[in-house]
Amino acid sequence: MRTWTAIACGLLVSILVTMELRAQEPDSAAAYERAAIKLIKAGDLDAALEQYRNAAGAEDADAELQQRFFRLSRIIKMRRALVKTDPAQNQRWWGTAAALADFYDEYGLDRERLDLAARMYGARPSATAAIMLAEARIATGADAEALAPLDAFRDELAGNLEAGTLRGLALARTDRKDEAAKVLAGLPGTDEAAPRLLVQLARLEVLCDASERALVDLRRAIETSTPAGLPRLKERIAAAPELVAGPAKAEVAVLMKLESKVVKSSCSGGSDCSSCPSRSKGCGGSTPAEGKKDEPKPEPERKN
Amino acid sequence: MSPRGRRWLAALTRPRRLMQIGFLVLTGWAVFRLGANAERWCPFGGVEALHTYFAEGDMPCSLGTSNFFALGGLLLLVLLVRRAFCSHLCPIGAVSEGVRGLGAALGLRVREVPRRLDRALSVLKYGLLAFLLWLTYRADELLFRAADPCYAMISRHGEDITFWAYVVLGAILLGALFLSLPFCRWLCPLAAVMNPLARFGLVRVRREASSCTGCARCDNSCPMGIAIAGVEEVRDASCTACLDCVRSCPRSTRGALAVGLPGSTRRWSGAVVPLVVLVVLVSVVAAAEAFPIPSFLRERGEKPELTRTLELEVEGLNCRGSANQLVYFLDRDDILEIPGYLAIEAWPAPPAGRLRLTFDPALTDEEAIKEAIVTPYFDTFEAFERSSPFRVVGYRPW
Repeated sequence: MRTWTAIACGLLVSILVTMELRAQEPDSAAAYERAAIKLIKAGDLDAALEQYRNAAGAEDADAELQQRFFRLSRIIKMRRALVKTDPAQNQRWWGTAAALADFYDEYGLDRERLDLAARMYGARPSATAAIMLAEARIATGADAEALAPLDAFRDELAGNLEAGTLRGLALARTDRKDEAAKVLAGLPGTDEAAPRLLVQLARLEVLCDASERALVDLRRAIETSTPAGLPRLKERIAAAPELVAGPAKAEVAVLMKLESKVVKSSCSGGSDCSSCPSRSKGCGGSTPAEGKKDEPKPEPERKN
Repeated sequence: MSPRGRRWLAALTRPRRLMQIGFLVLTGWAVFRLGANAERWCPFGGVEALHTYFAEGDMPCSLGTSNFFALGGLLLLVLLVRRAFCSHLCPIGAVSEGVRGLGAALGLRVREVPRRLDRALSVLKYGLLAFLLWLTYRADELLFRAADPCYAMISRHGEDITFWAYVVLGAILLGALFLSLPFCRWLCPLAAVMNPLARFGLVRVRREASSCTGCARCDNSCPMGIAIAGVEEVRDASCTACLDCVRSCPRSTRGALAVGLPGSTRRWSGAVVPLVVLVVLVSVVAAAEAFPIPSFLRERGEKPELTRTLELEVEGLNCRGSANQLVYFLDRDDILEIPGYLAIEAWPAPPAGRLRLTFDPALTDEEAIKEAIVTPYFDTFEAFERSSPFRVVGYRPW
């Protein structure tokens, strides 16, 4: 009897130990993804892709996770292609660079983004490229240098909210607050401004002692951000010393707890077409690339 | 059972009535119980989709190529048994007749419409057909759906049904209480499609003048208001082959009124009409299932001599909108671009549609195509990363 009791206890203990050990193993999709994001932020995209491969394998039903796997896989291919190709020789170069810059920006890879923005500006100097370069320079603390590309396209960028905000920010962060305040006063309306630009604007406003306006803009940024984009937006806010360590830091901390007010869009899916919100509205659209294959790839419009 | 009850029962168990009731029940069961999309089997949907299919290579939202089979079946039916569709299958016709029966039971008399006014009103359906086709062909969408009485009746009353659809349906049913099939006679756009062919329909009601007493009961019983007593053969395009005239004829057993082929003296049983309707109906469904035609077609580039075909099952390829989105991903111009010739044939259906792609094997391969379908695309115009809503069944590169 004692022997059987001992065997039963032994089995029980070994089952519990195994379960505990398994719980500690990073075999869940979420754990793999956490590891992948860490690796992306460290710049090791190949290793991150392996983690995403494991994550997708562990959670076969998660379509969003699979999208992130496929995106990273494409980004790696783009990065390799970009190194090999000459911007002047390749129509697709700009589009590839823009996609890569967007990815670097999303994961806070500021150094890589700066290198790319500089290459883009060098390859095809334009107002759009100037804004991208100025923003990348400010993100890496090169505020004084951020003014140069904006100055080079001063006429074209007159009245541009994003360019004006970046100019003001660069001036304010280089102790030229009076000039920054003048720029702030001359900025156009912000009704159409996207959340990420509102964050930049809030930074400028705090530096120009307009904290109340900054809090209004920051609230609008958070509330008009998409639910999917909100975590990254909050990371941007958290990375801005003017906001989290500035004179309105207590209020900013409160705002950081707010959630998006944008309703998450969802396809009606199922077989009931009659409840599809896109029905009879020409949904799906046409193909953007159609008929444009032989034209040079245009530069992207900056979505503020 | 009272004599009146027996008459009702006899009327309800006629093959035509049984077919009307059976088809209504079947449609209702398929739509409300199984969640089927009845629009995909509407022959008028086939008429509306023709332009979009041949001009654009796709179908208006929620229609499918089964609509073409339904339209083909309808036209065949018209050539065989005239507008028997109206008297045997059409839900609006069945309900209108039911409402008229109810009106009769309540003692409401049918209001006669003067023949000249009837003729003038019957032209309205051609105008309505022209207007609806113009509207649909311009928008490539069923804008008429918002006020479609048939859709109001046999759909699950989704967001796209407007108050006006119920108003139109209510007006039709109210009219049917006092008038004989007003919608079918004067307004039905599908009737306008059928009428030109219906004149050539094989099966006709024939009147034998030597046996006819000229009692005009046939005239009074015709729900379409056709003057039968004065003709040898009913050639009127609006005849729905309901055979109420034959049944009402006191001398039909002596051949005063009978069904038959033109130029032949042979008299056929009235059961031939519902039988033909049933055979054509079953054949249409069987043909649509056996020979599915893609409802979405696209082609780009010049076809090379050597091509390869790839067949896929794609989750998310539900409807025309999603098929358009699929083209968006197949036409991408980033690093996953599919170069060269590409022909797309799709059978969108929830939750996973069929896809057949023909491509140039010298320039791309099957793996590259699958990857292009499922991988997000960075839209440089919008500066926006667009996720792919598609999953290729069986493609798991992890």
